[in-house]
Amino acid sequence: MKARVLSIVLLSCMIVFQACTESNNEPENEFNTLVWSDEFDTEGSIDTTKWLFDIGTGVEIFGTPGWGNNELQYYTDRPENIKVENGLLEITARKENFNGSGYTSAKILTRGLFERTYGRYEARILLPFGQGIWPAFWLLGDDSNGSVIWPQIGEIDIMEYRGQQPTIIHGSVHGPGYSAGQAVTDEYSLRSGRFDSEFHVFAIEWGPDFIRYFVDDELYNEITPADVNGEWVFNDNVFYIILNVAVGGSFVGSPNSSTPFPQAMYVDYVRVYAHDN
Amino acid sequence: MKDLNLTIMTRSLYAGLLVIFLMAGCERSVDGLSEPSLTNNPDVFIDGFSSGLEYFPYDDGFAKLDAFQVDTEVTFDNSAASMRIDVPNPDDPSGSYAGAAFIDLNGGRNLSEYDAFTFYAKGTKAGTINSIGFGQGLEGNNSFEVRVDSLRLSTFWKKYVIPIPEPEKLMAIDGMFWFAENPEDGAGYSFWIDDLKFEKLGTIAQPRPSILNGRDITISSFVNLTYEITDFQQTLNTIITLPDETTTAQDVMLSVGAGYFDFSSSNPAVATVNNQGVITVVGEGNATITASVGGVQASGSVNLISQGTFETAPVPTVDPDSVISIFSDAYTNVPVDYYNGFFNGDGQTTLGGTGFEGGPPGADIVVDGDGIINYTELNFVGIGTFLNVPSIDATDMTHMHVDINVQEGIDPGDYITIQLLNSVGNGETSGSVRIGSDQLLENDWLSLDIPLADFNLADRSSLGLIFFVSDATISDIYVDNIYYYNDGSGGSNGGGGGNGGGNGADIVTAPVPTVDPDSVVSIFSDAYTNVPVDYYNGFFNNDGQTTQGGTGFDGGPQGADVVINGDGIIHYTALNFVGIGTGVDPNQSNPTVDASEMTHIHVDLYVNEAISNGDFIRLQLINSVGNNESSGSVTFSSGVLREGEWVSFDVPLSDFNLAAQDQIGLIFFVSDATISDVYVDNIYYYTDGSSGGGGSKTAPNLPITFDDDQVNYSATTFNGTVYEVVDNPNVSGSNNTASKVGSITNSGAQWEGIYFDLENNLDFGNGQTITMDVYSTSAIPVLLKIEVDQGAFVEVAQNHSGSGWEELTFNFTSSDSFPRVTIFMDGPGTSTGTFYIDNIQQN
Repeated sequence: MKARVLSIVLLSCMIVFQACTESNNEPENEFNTLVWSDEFDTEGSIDTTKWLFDIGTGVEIFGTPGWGNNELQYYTDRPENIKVENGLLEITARKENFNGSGYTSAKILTRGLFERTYGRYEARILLPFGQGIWPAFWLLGDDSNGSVIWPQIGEIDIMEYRGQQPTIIHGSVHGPGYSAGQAVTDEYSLRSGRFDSEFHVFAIEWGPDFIRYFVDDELYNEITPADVNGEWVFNDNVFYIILNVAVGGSFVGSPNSSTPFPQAMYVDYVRVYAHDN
Repeated sequence: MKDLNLTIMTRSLYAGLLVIFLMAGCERSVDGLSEPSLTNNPDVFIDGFSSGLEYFPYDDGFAKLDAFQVDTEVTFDNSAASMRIDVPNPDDPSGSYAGAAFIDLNGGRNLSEYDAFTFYAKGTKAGTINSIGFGQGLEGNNSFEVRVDSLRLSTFWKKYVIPIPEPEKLMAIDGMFWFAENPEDGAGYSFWIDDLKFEKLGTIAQPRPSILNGRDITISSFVNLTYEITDFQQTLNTIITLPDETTTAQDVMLSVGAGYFDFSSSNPAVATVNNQGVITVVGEGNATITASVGGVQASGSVNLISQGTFETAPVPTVDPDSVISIFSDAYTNVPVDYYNGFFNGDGQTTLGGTGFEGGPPGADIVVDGDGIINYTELNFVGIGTFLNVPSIDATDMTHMHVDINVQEGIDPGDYITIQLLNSVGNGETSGSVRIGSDQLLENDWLSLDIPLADFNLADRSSLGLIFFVSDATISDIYVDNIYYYNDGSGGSNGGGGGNGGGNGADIVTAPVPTVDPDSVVSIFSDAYTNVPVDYYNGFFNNDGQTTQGGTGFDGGPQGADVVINGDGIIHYTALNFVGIGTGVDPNQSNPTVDASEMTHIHVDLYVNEAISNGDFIRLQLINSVGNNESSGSVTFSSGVLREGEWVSFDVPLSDFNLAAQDQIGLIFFVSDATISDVYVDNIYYYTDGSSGGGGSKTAPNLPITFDDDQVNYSATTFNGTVYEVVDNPNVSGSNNTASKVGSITNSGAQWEGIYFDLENNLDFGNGQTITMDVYSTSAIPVLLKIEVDQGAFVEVAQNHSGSGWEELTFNFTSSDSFPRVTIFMDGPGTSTGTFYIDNIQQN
């Protein structure tokens, strides 16, 4: 893991020299112990020792379809919507009539399989494109068998993205008093290139009273208890990882006739590092 | 180079084609384009022309040659110079638009490392540049052309990005920039371009190429035919930086040259495709042609179904001296106005017959030197010889020949009608011959030699139009060898002589009606203005209809299959039944016919075949079709019909016993195929001045005899029964008088029957016995139910022995009065068949 950090430092030196001088104060090399990962190197289906699927429209959980966000897709575990191929996880949103929904896609979670507090969570992702496409790489706090409810459980969105804005991603936290529209959030805009034409690395480094957001190892935001308008719920609960591609919904708006389908999110790996001490 | 430039300047370029001929001895040949070490210079115009760039205004005679100037006053970012385009006023004698290409004469450039063509632009007004782009090169090489249409200008400098469809293809390109712009709102203006260059933005993504506008096309074809793929497009997504430094993503659709595309055939043994998208059919079978750009599959494809080597029509052998040829490579054709009149205003959809440059007139396909017409999307199409060429005198000809090859499956009921029009638009007459589905051949030639007498033309000395009419039953045909000839039988005028039966005889027109137009509601007559009619043949083929005709022809009166001396006539053939609809076709919004003030219906019939005993034509009217409908009919028997002459019928509407005649939607002619060929004319309702129509008739009271003209004997039917008033079919037994009776036909359902709502209540105080004559040939129970609608009732059943007419007696025990008489023939059972009733009386 030393090599990885070295290469990152080297790269950032080469590209942004000033960032490199500042980086002496950045705690970016504190998370080096790999505690969990999926490299998606086994062709075929998803490793169910690491992931479980959410299926359907969420109507059983939320009372109405849309997973609480007016999303339009029906999540399946079919290979048309999710598979591992060429060393990549591929989650594909399709426009098709399926069990009453107009779109299909997939969502996987490590709930009950891998949950922890703190660490560096990172994924290398090639994002999809088009109006109304809403992929996300995020963490959700454990609900203690339903005894704690959102937003008290806490939510850390490492990466959210609107398909119609292929140069911008968003990082956020949700908790009691600062959820949904009041979430604490910041966006990152690429100065060159696009999120839908090449892979980028999305990461957080999360420790006691801080969550730092990175794109391609560039720190662009840090959230601390001082930034949230309510209780800091990220120091004692355990969180699990979620990867999904939603279609439509309140964050992104609906697809339109110019949205090309199918649209796939490609994930090279998801890795979780623990703090060095 | 100066000399060369001048030479090219004077030759200039052709818009769209860009064909240019370089002078011999020119150092810079296009061979240079394929040489490896081309410059990668991305600049086109920064503060002046980049190296090698030259200006070529379009040489189409309309472009203003000096529309382009280098401007040192107005520039982007205060640079040294910009390009200024002065779009002329429309009436500028030096040119009516601005258009030019800028070409690199140093042999071209390698631009494969860039992904966009960018520039700053502004206008003296917020104009819209018609077309702008790059890739128009020397020698008309537009393989790598890129075109953006309708580029909106602002009056301030703004950056524009035109993505490169596929950079890897631009290893050698000389067309650096081009534009074409017309005046805006009738006035000229100026616009500036600056910092024009290729660059690598890194923000171009999401290629979505297409061909053929994304359509998947299927073509039935043959060996050696070629097709050119068109409509090459590439859509890419770009990132635009707004003035406030925020960014937005934007799709840009480009029209591009074929060179960006890679083409592929799924079956090269059937069809090949070259790098310009030209497809050549080489064998029999199926092949799908697809395209891609940079490995991204384009939407749109061509599916070729090759039938192998094309079999041409049989070569005609008739002596040319006996032929008047319209379309044949075997003869010298007479002058023809057109092989497709495109009567689109009349609803024509037919394509084809237009020929191609360098080919024989009208021939859409030439195979082995044989020109063939290919009509597609056929509904009707006319070949004209009356506008600018002499009409054809076929008086001395006996036959018409035509070869037809149907390029699709043939369904029962499909047809092609061949119609000839004489003296087009001037005492015009026409006649037609229908080629039915049993004759037409799929993917094979049908050679037709049709006696001209079959067209029933009184005169064929001035033939001006040949129509092929399929009414879209057949949509794709090849046609060849259209000619008139004389088979030596001498034929000619005089009605076709020995052609047998009435078929060859020229019919005369029906008597001209004389009823005052104010007293007429006309359905089909040239003597009156007809009401809107949905159709003169409903083609109820699902119900077993075989009848043809009543379809009319282009330019003729609606429904008229034949026009004689300006008189349109319907010609029904293969008649079993046929309906004329008014206000019943939901796709039209015609009203139904209100004949409530009318007393009679008139129709002229001309039976065009021998008449046998028992033949008939029944005229049936239906009011309120499909909605509490009532119908009635009158039958013209063999005794009153005439072979080969017109008979005029004037039938009192009361004879139809309609419940109402204010919303007549259908007129049926029913022969049950006893008569199959009949001409029909002058169908109209009229009033003879006597009391109005059926609306004034009274509802029945007992006794119900079906014989009183002042009584409306309509009955309401239920659960499937059909009811009508007819002549007593079997004058015998208990009903041995020739009179009207009620006819009840059971469908086989339980509890089906009819009822009469009486004018006055039936009062059992006046007698409790009701008798009724009933005709049945099977033993059935007959139930007579006297009732209030959905209320009190009394009922009595009596058995019929099935011996024909029997008088049944129903004894009731009631002293009440009731408004309704309901009759069930075998109410609880499921007997089918027709029964008759008569003389329902109270005793």
